[in-house]
Amino acid sequence: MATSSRRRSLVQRLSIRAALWTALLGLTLGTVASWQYWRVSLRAIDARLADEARTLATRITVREDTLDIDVPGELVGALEIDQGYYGVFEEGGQRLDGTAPSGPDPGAGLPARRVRQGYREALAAGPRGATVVVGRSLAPIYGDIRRLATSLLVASLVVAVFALPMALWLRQQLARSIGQIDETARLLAPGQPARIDAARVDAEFVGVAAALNEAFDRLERALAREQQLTSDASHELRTPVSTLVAETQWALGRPREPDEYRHSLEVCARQARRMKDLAESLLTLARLESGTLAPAHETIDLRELADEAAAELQPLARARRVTIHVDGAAALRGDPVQLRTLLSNLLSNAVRYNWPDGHVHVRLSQGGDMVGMEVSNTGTGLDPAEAHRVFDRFWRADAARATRDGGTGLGLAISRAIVDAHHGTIACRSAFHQGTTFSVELPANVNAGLAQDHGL
Amino acid sequence: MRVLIVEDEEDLASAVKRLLADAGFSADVAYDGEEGLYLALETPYDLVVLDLMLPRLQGERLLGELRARDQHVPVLILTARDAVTDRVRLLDSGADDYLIKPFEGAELVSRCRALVRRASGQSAPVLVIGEMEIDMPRRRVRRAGVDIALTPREFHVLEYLALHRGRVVSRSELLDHLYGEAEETMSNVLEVFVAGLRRKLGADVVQTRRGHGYIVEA
Repeated sequence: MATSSRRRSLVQRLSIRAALWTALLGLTLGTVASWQYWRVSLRAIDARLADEARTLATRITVREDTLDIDVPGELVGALEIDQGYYGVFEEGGQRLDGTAPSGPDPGAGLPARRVRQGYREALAAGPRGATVVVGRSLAPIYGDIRRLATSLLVASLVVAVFALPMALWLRQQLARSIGQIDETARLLAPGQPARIDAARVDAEFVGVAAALNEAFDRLERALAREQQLTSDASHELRTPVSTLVAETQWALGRPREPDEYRHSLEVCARQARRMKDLAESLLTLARLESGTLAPAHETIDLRELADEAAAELQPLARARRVTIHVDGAAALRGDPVQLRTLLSNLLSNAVRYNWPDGHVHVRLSQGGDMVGMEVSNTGTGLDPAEAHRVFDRFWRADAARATRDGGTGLGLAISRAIVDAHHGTIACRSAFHQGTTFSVELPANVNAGLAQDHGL
Repeated sequence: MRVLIVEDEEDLASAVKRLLADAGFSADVAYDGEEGLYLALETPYDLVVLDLMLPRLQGERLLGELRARDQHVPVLILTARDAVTDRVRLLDSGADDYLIKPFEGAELVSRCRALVRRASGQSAPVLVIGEMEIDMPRRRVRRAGVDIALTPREFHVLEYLALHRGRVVSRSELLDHLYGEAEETMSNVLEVFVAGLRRKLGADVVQTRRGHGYIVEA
């Protein structure tokens, strides 16, 4: 894949970030630890120095005019070990004893603490204005802190470096989880009911797996619908094609009489028209179902449309001695061409599958924001158990087949697709030998219906 | 040869009927499954051409009923389904052959002929009886190497008797296999054809068994 080098890797990003965070964490920890160590160490030194300074101050005695200083041996020893010093200064600032480099700061109170040239000092007051200074080097603490900081830094670097292989491990885990999804997606093919096994993916991917499985289901259903349509369509086309082939081969088999040729041509014309109707209906249905034939939003007088459709079907109705009645009125916003097709389909069915001297009733009604349309006949009726199948593509009742009137078997499927496109409902109610009623409910305003459908 | 066509598409049934008639079959047509089954059980057809998608009684059910009642008439299925599983199921449920729609007229005719031939225990398309050769696909008869011109009806009578040679065929059986139900027949029509055959092929070709029928000796 050419794009893979430029594409950023999630694992790479995660690893770099993990390393950076680890390093920053180490740095922060080091700083806090060093500061705390410094504070604790300084407090300990201060306590010790103050104690020593106080003790030393009590060892200064006044003898006549001079100060007698009795330095305890353990103090000298301790200071020697710790690289420290002490000093006793008289009031004037003159050093009387010890090695402390400087006397008390003029004007500063006692006792006091200070840092002088890398040494921590405690000052205490002795008799006659004398000042005692005890100091210890801070160098050992600095050294300790340096060592502590260094080791913490090294440790966090080590952890940061270890974060990289950890990222690799993470990558493996990710790949395992995604791999299952990937594998399934690859297996997916028409007629292959491969699904991601939700039990095998990690918790983080359960949602993704479910969403993908649902998408696969939807795709498969759509594919199955398409395959069914293709297979139905080819099945339906085979009969007229067979007839054309058989008829023309008969006619051309040997010279025939003019009447015979005429008859053959009539058969061919009839079958060709049937194929044309079928092709047109299939195309309409496919467009409606794929949503590419979105309905227009025009204000429509449904009564006008119903009267037109009834007038158009008059010749057929007269031939079958069927009377069409149109009652009521309704107006809505929708697609005039599609709604006209809907009315024509329902009416022509009602006329076709009717007894001689039968009746067809179209009843229009308007209530609230819904429009009702009912087309019923006094016709042959359907097995009530089969009534729901009338909207299936190419489904024809036995009786409808027997009449051999050349219907495409798609009229009601198209009707339902039109109703769906208008966000309405259509239902079929039938009783054997008593008649069939198609009830359509449409939102008076498709946009409002749309809003309802989306729960807005 | 008499054929029953069970097909609900009127135009297709009519075209098939005429194609078969040109090849010397007399055909009856049934437009739904129930009528088809009734006719197939009532009449001794030599062949049934059966569509599958039929009103009232589906083709497969019709075939099942036929076989369940021990009817051995050859059945050729016309089907729009081309899946192997469908074809296998059809053959396994008693069909003798099938043609997938759309089919070629010539192929339909040849398959029909082959089915009738096989049903009478005959595999060769040309029957040889003594000096006589009956070429069934070409509808021609030769005697001692000489072409003899027969009328279509004369050929039908000879073909049927030759396919069942060595057996006495009754007048009514012969008539049943010669004419479709809609065709008018006259009482002496068989005698006319047999007389024609004897005149053209020789007096000994078709013999009369008085009170029983006709026979072509093996």
